[in-house]
Amino acid sequence: MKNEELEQKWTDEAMASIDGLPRAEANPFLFTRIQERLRRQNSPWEKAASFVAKPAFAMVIIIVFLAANFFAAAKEKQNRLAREKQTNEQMFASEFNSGSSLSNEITANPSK
Amino acid sequence: MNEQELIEQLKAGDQEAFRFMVTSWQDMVYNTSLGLVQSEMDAEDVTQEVFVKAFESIHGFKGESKVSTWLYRITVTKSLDFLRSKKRKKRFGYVYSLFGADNEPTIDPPEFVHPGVVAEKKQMAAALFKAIDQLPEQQKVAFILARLEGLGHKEVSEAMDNTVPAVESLLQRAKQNLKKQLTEYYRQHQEK
Repeated sequence: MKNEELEQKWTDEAMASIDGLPRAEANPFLFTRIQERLRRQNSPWEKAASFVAKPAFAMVIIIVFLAANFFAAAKEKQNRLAREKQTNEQMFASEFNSGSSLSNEITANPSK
Repeated sequence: MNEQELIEQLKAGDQEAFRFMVTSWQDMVYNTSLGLVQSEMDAEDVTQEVFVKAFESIHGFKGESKVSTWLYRITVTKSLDFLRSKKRKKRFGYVYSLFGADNEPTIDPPEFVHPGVVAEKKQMAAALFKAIDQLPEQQKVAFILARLEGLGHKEVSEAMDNTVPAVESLLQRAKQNLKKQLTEYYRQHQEK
Protein backbone atom coordinates (compact mmCIF):
# COMPACT_ATOMS: atom_id res chain seq x y z
CA MET A 1 0.00 0.00 0.00
CA LYS A 2 1.30 3.44 -0.92
CA ASN A 3 2.25 5.91 1.80
CA GLU A 4 -0.53 8.33 0.81
CA GLU A 5 -3.11 5.58 1.04
CA LEU A 6 -1.79 4.57 4.48
CA GLU A 7 -1.98 8.19 5.57
CA GLN A 8 -5.55 8.50 4.30
CA LYS A 9 -6.54 5.22 5.98
CA TRP A 10 -5.02 6.28 9.33
CA THR A 11 -6.72 9.70 9.17
CA ASP A 12 -10.12 8.13 8.41
CA GLU A 13 -9.68 5.62 11.24
CA ALA A 14 -8.67 8.40 13.65
CA MET A 15 -11.74 10.43 12.63
CA ALA A 16 -13.93 7.41 13.34
CA SER A 17 -12.17 6.51 16.61
CA ILE A 18 -14.82 8.26 18.72
CA ASP A 19 -17.83 6.93 16.82
CA GLY A 20 -20.30 5.14 19.06
CA LEU A 21 -18.43 5.98 22.25
CA PRO A 22 -20.46 5.36 25.41
CA ARG A 23 -21.15 8.47 27.45
CA ALA A 24 -18.63 9.17 30.19
CA GLU A 25 -20.29 8.77 33.59
CA ALA A 26 -20.35 11.59 36.09
CA ASN A 27 -19.25 11.15 39.70
CA PRO A 28 -21.95 9.23 41.65
CA PHE A 29 -21.68 11.81 44.45
CA LEU A 30 -22.28 14.72 42.10
CA PHE A 31 -25.63 15.71 43.63
CA THR A 32 -24.14 15.88 47.15
CA ARG A 33 -21.30 18.04 45.86
CA ILE A 34 -23.71 20.38 44.07
CA GLN A 35 -25.76 20.74 47.26
CA GLU A 36 -22.59 21.53 49.21
CA ARG A 37 -21.63 24.10 46.60
CA LEU A 38 -25.07 25.73 46.79
CA ARG A 39 -24.90 25.80 50.59
CA ARG A 40 -21.44 27.43 50.49
CA GLN A 41 -22.57 29.96 47.89
CA ASN A 42 -25.53 30.99 50.03
CA SER A 43 -23.56 31.41 53.27
CA PRO A 44 -23.10 35.13 54.16
CA TRP A 45 -19.34 34.67 54.72
CA GLU A 46 -18.93 33.12 51.30
CA LYS A 47 -20.96 35.93 49.75
CA ALA A 48 -18.81 38.54 51.49
CA ALA A 49 -15.62 36.74 50.43
CA SER A 50 -16.72 36.49 46.81
CA PHE A 51 -17.71 40.19 46.87
CA VAL A 52 -14.30 41.17 48.23
CA ALA A 53 -12.56 38.94 45.68
CA LYS A 54 -14.20 40.73 42.75
CA PRO A 55 -11.76 42.75 40.59
CA ALA A 56 -14.21 45.69 40.62
CA PHE A 57 -14.00 45.79 44.43
CA ALA A 58 -10.18 45.81 44.25
CA MET A 59 -10.34 48.64 41.71
CA VAL A 60 -12.65 50.68 43.95
CA ILE A 61 -10.30 50.14 46.91
CA ILE A 62 -7.29 51.25 44.84
CA ILE A 63 -9.15 54.33 43.56
CA VAL A 64 -10.28 55.27 47.09
CA PHE A 65 -6.71 54.77 48.38
CA LEU A 66 -5.23 56.93 45.61
CA ALA A 67 -7.91 59.60 46.07
CA ALA A 68 -7.28 59.69 49.85
CA ASN A 69 -3.55 60.05 49.23
CA PHE A 70 -4.14 62.79 46.70
CA PHE A 71 -6.40 64.76 49.07
CA ALA A 72 -3.99 64.28 51.97
CA ALA A 73 -1.10 65.55 49.83
CA ALA A 74 -3.17 68.50 48.57
CA LYS A 75 -4.22 69.39 52.12
CA GLU A 76 -0.64 69.13 53.37
CA LYS A 77 0.52 71.43 50.55
CA GLN A 78 -2.21 73.92 51.43
CA ASN A 79 -1.20 73.86 55.12
CA ARG A 80 2.48 74.27 54.24
CA LEU A 81 1.71 77.29 52.03
CA ALA A 82 -0.44 78.80 54.78
CA ARG A 83 2.37 78.28 57.33
CA GLU A 84 4.94 79.79 54.98
CA LYS A 85 2.67 82.77 54.34
CA GLN A 86 2.17 83.25 58.07
CA THR A 87 5.91 83.04 58.74
CA ASN A 88 6.63 85.57 55.99
CA GLU A 89 4.02 87.90 57.37
CA GLN A 90 5.44 87.57 60.88
CA MET A 91 8.96 88.20 59.59
CA PHE A 92 7.76 91.20 57.64
CA ALA A 93 5.83 92.49 60.64
CA SER A 94 8.79 92.13 62.99
CA GLU A 95 11.08 93.79 60.45
CA PHE A 96 8.55 96.58 59.98
CA ASN A 97 8.23 97.00 63.75
CA SER A 98 11.99 97.34 64.26
CA GLY A 99 12.18 99.69 61.26
CA SER A 100 9.36 101.85 62.54
CA SER A 101 10.83 102.05 66.08
CA LEU A 102 14.12 103.28 64.56
CA SER A 103 12.29 105.94 62.53
CA ASN A 104 10.39 106.92 65.70
CA GLU A 105 13.66 107.35 67.53
CA ILE A 106 14.99 109.46 64.65
CA THR A 107 11.86 111.58 64.63
CA ALA A 108 11.93 112.00 68.44
CA ASN A 109 15.64 112.89 68.59
CA PRO A 110 16.52 114.62 65.32
CA SER A 111 19.82 116.04 66.83
CA LYS A 112 21.33 112.52 67.18
CA MET B 1 -42.89 13.18 35.84
CA ASN B 2 -43.13 15.18 32.60
CA GLU B 3 -40.90 18.18 31.91
CA GLN B 4 -43.60 20.79 32.64
CA GLU B 5 -44.27 19.28 36.08
CA LEU B 6 -40.55 19.08 36.74
CA ILE B 7 -40.06 22.75 35.87
CA GLU B 8 -42.95 23.80 38.12
CA GLN B 9 -41.55 21.77 41.03
CA LEU B 10 -38.08 23.19 40.45
CA LYS B 11 -39.51 26.71 40.47
CA ALA B 12 -41.16 25.90 43.78
CA GLY B 13 -37.71 24.98 45.15
CA ASP B 14 -38.40 21.25 45.47
CA GLN B 15 -35.14 19.47 46.35
CA GLU B 16 -36.38 16.09 45.12
CA ALA B 17 -37.17 17.59 41.70
CA PHE B 18 -33.66 19.06 41.63
CA ARG B 19 -32.18 15.67 42.51
CA PHE B 20 -34.23 14.12 39.70
CA MET B 21 -32.94 16.71 37.23
CA VAL B 22 -29.30 16.17 38.27
CA THR B 23 -29.47 12.37 38.12
CA SER B 24 -31.35 12.40 34.79
CA TRP B 25 -28.96 14.69 32.92
CA GLN B 26 -25.65 14.51 34.80
CA ASP B 27 -23.98 12.13 32.32
CA MET B 28 -25.12 14.21 29.35
CA VAL B 29 -23.72 17.40 30.89
CA TYR B 30 -20.51 15.72 32.08
CA ASN B 31 -19.83 14.01 28.72
CA THR B 32 -20.34 17.24 26.76
CA SER B 33 -18.17 19.23 29.13
CA LEU B 34 -15.50 16.50 29.10
CA GLY B 35 -15.33 16.67 25.30
CA LEU B 36 -14.87 20.43 25.42
CA VAL B 37 -12.52 20.92 28.38
CA GLN B 38 -10.69 17.58 27.97
CA SER B 39 -9.95 17.01 31.64
CA GLU B 40 -11.99 14.83 33.99
CA MET B 41 -11.45 17.06 37.03
CA ASP B 42 -12.30 20.25 35.17
CA ALA B 43 -15.33 18.62 33.53
CA GLU B 44 -16.67 17.64 36.96
CA ASP B 45 -16.21 21.18 38.17
CA VAL B 46 -18.00 22.57 35.11
CA THR B 47 -20.82 20.02 35.57
CA GLN B 48 -21.37 21.24 39.13
CA GLU B 49 -21.42 24.84 37.91
CA VAL B 50 -23.95 23.96 35.21
CA PHE B 51 -26.44 22.51 37.71
CA VAL B 52 -25.89 25.34 40.18
CA LYS B 53 -26.59 27.81 37.36
CA ALA B 54 -29.65 25.79 36.28
CA PHE B 55 -30.97 25.79 39.87
CA GLU B 56 -30.44 29.53 40.23
CA SER B 57 -31.90 30.50 36.86
CA ILE B 58 -34.86 28.11 36.70
CA HIS B 59 -37.25 31.05 37.19
CA GLY B 60 -36.04 32.50 33.90
CA PHE B 61 -36.65 29.25 32.01
CA LYS B 62 -39.83 29.68 29.99
CA GLY B 63 -40.10 26.07 28.83
CA GLU B 64 -39.91 27.04 25.14
CA SER B 65 -37.16 24.46 24.58
CA LYS B 66 -36.55 21.04 26.11
CA VAL B 67 -34.74 20.88 29.46
CA SER B 68 -31.90 18.98 27.77
CA THR B 69 -31.46 21.75 25.15
CA TRP B 70 -31.41 24.36 27.92
CA LEU B 71 -28.81 22.33 29.84
CA TYR B 72 -26.70 21.87 26.69
CA ARG B 73 -26.67 25.66 26.27
CA ILE B 74 -25.54 26.24 29.85
CA THR B 75 -22.91 23.49 29.51
CA VAL B 76 -21.47 24.97 26.33
CA THR B 77 -21.37 28.48 27.85
CA LYS B 78 -19.76 27.30 31.10
CA SER B 79 -17.22 25.08 29.31
CA LEU B 80 -16.19 27.87 26.92
CA ASP B 81 -15.95 30.32 29.84
CA PHE B 82 -13.72 27.83 31.62
CA LEU B 83 -11.47 27.39 28.55
CA ARG B 84 -11.19 31.18 28.09
CA SER B 85 -10.26 31.74 31.72
CA LYS B 86 -7.70 28.90 31.50
CA LYS B 87 -6.17 30.52 28.41
CA ARG B 88 -6.06 33.91 30.19
CA LYS B 89 -4.32 32.37 33.20
CA LYS B 90 -1.82 30.64 30.92
CA ARG B 91 -1.07 33.92 29.14
CA PHE B 92 -0.75 35.75 32.47
CA GLY B 93 1.55 32.98 33.75
CA TYR B 94 3.75 33.41 30.68
CA VAL B 95 3.99 37.19 31.15
CA TYR B 96 4.66 36.62 34.86
CA SER B 97 7.48 34.18 34.06
CA LEU B 98 9.05 36.74 31.68
CA PHE B 99 9.73 38.91 34.72
CA GLY B 100 11.55 36.02 36.34
CA ALA B 101 9.05 35.52 39.14
CA ASP B 102 8.35 31.92 38.30
CA ASN B 103 11.29 29.84 37.20
CA GLU B 104 9.70 26.48 37.80
CA PRO B 105 9.20 24.42 34.66
CA THR B 106 5.55 24.14 33.59
CA ILE B 107 4.13 20.64 33.45
CA ASP B 108 2.09 19.89 30.36
CA PRO B 109 -1.02 17.82 31.10
CA PRO B 110 -0.94 14.30 29.65
CA GLU B 111 -2.78 13.64 26.37
CA PHE B 112 -6.50 13.43 26.96
CA VAL B 113 -8.27 10.21 26.11
CA HIS B 114 -12.02 9.88 26.61
CA PRO B 115 -12.73 7.12 29.18
CA GLY B 116 -14.97 5.27 26.70
CA VAL B 117 -12.23 4.71 24.10
CA VAL B 118 -11.09 1.09 23.70
CA ALA B 119 -7.39 0.31 24.20
CA GLU B 120 -6.49 -0.30 20.54
CA LYS B 121 -7.92 3.08 19.47
CA LYS B 122 -6.37 5.12 22.27
CA GLN B 123 -3.52 6.63 20.24
CA MET B 124 -5.81 7.64 17.38
CA ALA B 125 -8.45 9.05 19.73
CA ALA B 126 -5.79 11.03 21.62
CA ALA B 127 -4.59 12.52 18.31
CA LEU B 128 -8.18 13.36 17.38
CA PHE B 129 -8.91 15.05 20.73
CA LYS B 130 -5.68 17.03 20.42
CA ALA B 131 -6.84 18.19 16.99
CA ILE B 132 -10.34 19.00 18.34
CA ASP B 133 -8.70 21.17 21.00
CA GLN B 134 -7.11 23.27 18.23
CA LEU B 135 -10.44 23.98 16.48
CA PRO B 136 -12.13 27.40 16.69
CA GLU B 137 -14.76 27.51 19.48
CA GLN B 138 -17.91 27.20 17.38
CA GLN B 139 -16.53 24.36 15.24
CA LYS B 140 -15.42 22.56 18.38
CA VAL B 141 -18.86 22.85 20.00
CA ALA B 142 -20.68 21.68 16.85
CA PHE B 143 -18.33 18.71 16.43
CA ILE B 144 -18.55 17.60 20.08
CA LEU B 145 -22.34 17.84 20.15
CA ALA B 146 -22.72 15.99 16.85
CA ARG B 147 -20.06 13.31 17.22
CA LEU B 148 -19.54 12.80 20.94
CA GLU B 149 -23.13 13.39 22.03
CA GLY B 150 -24.60 12.00 18.79
CA LEU B 151 -27.06 14.88 18.27
CA GLY B 152 -28.70 15.52 14.91
CA HIS B 153 -28.03 18.76 13.05
CA LYS B 154 -31.37 20.24 14.18
CA GLU B 155 -30.66 19.46 17.85
CA VAL B 156 -27.15 20.90 17.54
CA SER B 157 -28.58 24.07 15.98
CA GLU B 158 -31.06 24.41 18.87
CA ALA B 159 -28.35 23.86 21.48
CA MET B 160 -26.09 26.39 19.76
CA ASP B 161 -28.94 28.83 19.05
CA ASN B 162 -27.99 28.76 15.38
CA THR B 163 -29.52 27.70 12.05
CA VAL B 164 -29.21 24.19 10.61
CA PRO B 165 -27.24 25.33 7.51
CA ALA B 166 -24.83 27.24 9.77
CA VAL B 167 -24.27 24.10 11.85
CA GLU B 168 -23.73 22.02 8.70
CA SER B 169 -21.15 24.52 7.51
CA LEU B 170 -19.42 24.49 10.92
CA LEU B 171 -19.27 20.69 10.88
CA GLN B 172 -17.92 20.64 7.34
CA ARG B 173 -15.14 23.08 8.21
CA ALA B 174 -14.40 21.22 11.46
CA LYS B 175 -13.93 17.96 9.55
CA GLN B 176 -11.62 19.59 7.01
CA ASN B 177 -9.51 21.17 9.75
CA LEU B 178 -9.35 17.94 11.73
CA LYS B 179 -8.27 15.92 8.69
CA LYS B 180 -5.55 18.46 7.95
CA GLN B 181 -4.25 18.32 11.51
CA LEU B 182 -4.43 14.54 11.71
CA THR B 183 -2.48 14.22 8.46
CA GLU B 184 0.23 16.50 9.90
CA TYR B 185 0.26 14.47 13.11
CA TYR B 186 0.64 11.22 11.12
CA ARG B 187 3.51 12.65 9.03
CA GLN B 188 5.35 13.94 12.11
CA HIS B 189 5.09 10.55 13.80
CA GLN B 190 6.22 8.71 10.66
CA GLU B 191 9.34 10.87 10.48
CA LYS B 192 10.32 10.00 14.07
